[in-house]
Amino acid sequence: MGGKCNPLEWGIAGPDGSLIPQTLLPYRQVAQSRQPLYDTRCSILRPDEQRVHLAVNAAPLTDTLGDVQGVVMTFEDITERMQGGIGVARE
Amino acid sequence: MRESEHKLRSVIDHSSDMIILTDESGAIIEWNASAATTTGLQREEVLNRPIWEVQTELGTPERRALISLEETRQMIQQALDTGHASWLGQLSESTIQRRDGVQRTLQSIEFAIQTERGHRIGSVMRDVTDYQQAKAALLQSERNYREIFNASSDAIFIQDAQNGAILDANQTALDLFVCSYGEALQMSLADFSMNTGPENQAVMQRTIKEVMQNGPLRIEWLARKKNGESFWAELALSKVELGGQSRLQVALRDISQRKQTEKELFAEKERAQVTLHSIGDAVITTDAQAQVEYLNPAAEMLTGWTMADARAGC
Repeated sequence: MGGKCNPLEWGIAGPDGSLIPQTLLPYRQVAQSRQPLYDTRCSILRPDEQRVHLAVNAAPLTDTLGDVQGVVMTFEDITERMQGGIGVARE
Repeated sequence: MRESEHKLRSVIDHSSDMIILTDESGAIIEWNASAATTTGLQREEVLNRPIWEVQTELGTPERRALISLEETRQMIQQALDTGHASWLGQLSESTIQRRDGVQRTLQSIEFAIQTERGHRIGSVMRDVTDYQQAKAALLQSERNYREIFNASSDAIFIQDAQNGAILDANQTALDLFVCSYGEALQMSLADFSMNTGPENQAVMQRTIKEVMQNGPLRIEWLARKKNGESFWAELALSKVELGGQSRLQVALRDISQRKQTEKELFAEKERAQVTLHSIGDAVITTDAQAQVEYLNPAAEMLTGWTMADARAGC
């Protein structure tokens, strides 16, 4: 159970439902590009097997030398909007 | 009389000091074993030779350039004639150079012995080369220590571990605590501490004892300048041997700025934590290896995972 706190293991999928390749996961992109990402859409699978659709903002955390030390992400639950078709329209 | 002479002969032969004696004409009549060992000139080589000749032969090139054989002869001749000379009865130091080029430093005292025919000159000399070299090495070592001591950007105190008295302080220490050298020597480390209560004194005593018994320690300490101003200091305590005595060396640096920065960082972190905990947006932070470091309560609700899961798994 403990190991599943790694976002890699959250079954992160894109808006079309297919799993996102690791290199394209939001925090990977941010860590690599050192550029923030805004309003990226994806979904995760909760432990109760419920899929939650999210709008993600992510930004790199850097040290004084500019090296990426981590990523901070904020999530908005857009499941209801996605089910209503609004989120799809924004994509 | 014969027995007495035999005893004297034995003393001269076994003396670790060099014993040299001339007759009234300045010819060497005594040159003991120690003189032979130290100078490299055997008794048979020097007996009956004028002392000034042997002395000049043993002189360093510098000394020979300074005082000629004739000047040496005149100086000794005057002592032989009168029994008086400024150098008689005076402890002096000189350097000789042996035939093999090795130089030795000798400490000597010369004296005149009055006889029916005039005066004899006696000399007792001691090879102090090793002692002088050890002394010079010690002086150099102390000079080096003193230079490091004074050049250090850390404030350094040398303290008597027994009674706490300050025995020495470098310039950085005097500048940091705003006091003169004389004032520092009248004080103990306790006088430079904000925590002067008996309990804190006992803690300091225990710390010093531990350093003297078990080795160096680093501690943080609220220090007080002579003008009463306080500041946080990091103390590196160690035992040093100075002049054959075990002393406590206290190297101290002002860490007020570091403490302030730590305090500000903590406050900032607290603010961020409280903010993240209270906002409605889900926030997750990861480390560089994409391991979750933090989930706020909103993120826990959203993902179904908890901080405890994150801590256990990451």
